[in-house]
Amino acid sequence: MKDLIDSLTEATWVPRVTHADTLEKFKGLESKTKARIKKILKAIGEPKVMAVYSSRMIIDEASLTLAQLKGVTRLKVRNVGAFDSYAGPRIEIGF
Amino acid sequence: MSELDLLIEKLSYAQRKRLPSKDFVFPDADGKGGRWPIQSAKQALIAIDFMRKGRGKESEYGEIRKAIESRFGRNKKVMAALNSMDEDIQNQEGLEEASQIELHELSPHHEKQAKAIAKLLDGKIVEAWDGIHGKVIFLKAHNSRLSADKMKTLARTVRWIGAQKDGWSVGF
Repeated sequence: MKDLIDSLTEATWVPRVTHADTLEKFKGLESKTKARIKKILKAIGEPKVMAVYSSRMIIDEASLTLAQLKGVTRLKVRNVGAFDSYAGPRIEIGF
Repeated sequence: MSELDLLIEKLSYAQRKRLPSKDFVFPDADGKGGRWPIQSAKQALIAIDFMRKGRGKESEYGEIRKAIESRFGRNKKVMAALNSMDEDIQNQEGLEEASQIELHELSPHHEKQAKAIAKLLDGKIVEAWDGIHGKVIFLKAHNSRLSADKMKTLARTVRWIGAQKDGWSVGF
């Protein structure tokens, strides 16, 4: 249900997002959260971000390689999920 | 520049530009046969090379092949090249990257591994694939989120993990 509400409130999604879009999505987040997000994104090779929330984000990737999985594990992210977006399945990272 | 050199130059241009193979034509009775007619064995060999590289339209290969066979059937070099081309095409068609299999068709070690992954992800295996890139299983799972502990365990066995509409795909 929460996913549904989140997906409905997020109206600015595009299938392919630019780096500028990603930065735009960071606006309004606490600097501590921003730093955490940037760290996680760096660990998984800086993918494009489809949506960012206060404690989770959806990246524009449908899979994670072993190196990426190890990277997020090392950073002790809360969870990794499969998110069924309108552009197809994507990876969701909870932090 | 000789006529043949000119033809070779034109053919390499055709290959670069991916022109259709119908540009290889046999001359008519009056000697006119299009832009790159196949008149000699050397020209036939160039046409075979063109087809071997998969250029042009595959639907036209049969016609060109038939024409080369009828005209250069006694030329051993041309026929050897033609047969070798056929073998190459057959080998290319024979290469299968992965094929869908039943779970029990996996080796006992891999079957055990697949079941362990399915248990860890709390899902049911709906498809299994075996190929040159390894094994892949598709899982249907109610819970589409992995906790940190599960990720840690998973990172020991899998090569990649992918999100699916109602579950996961895992390569190992």
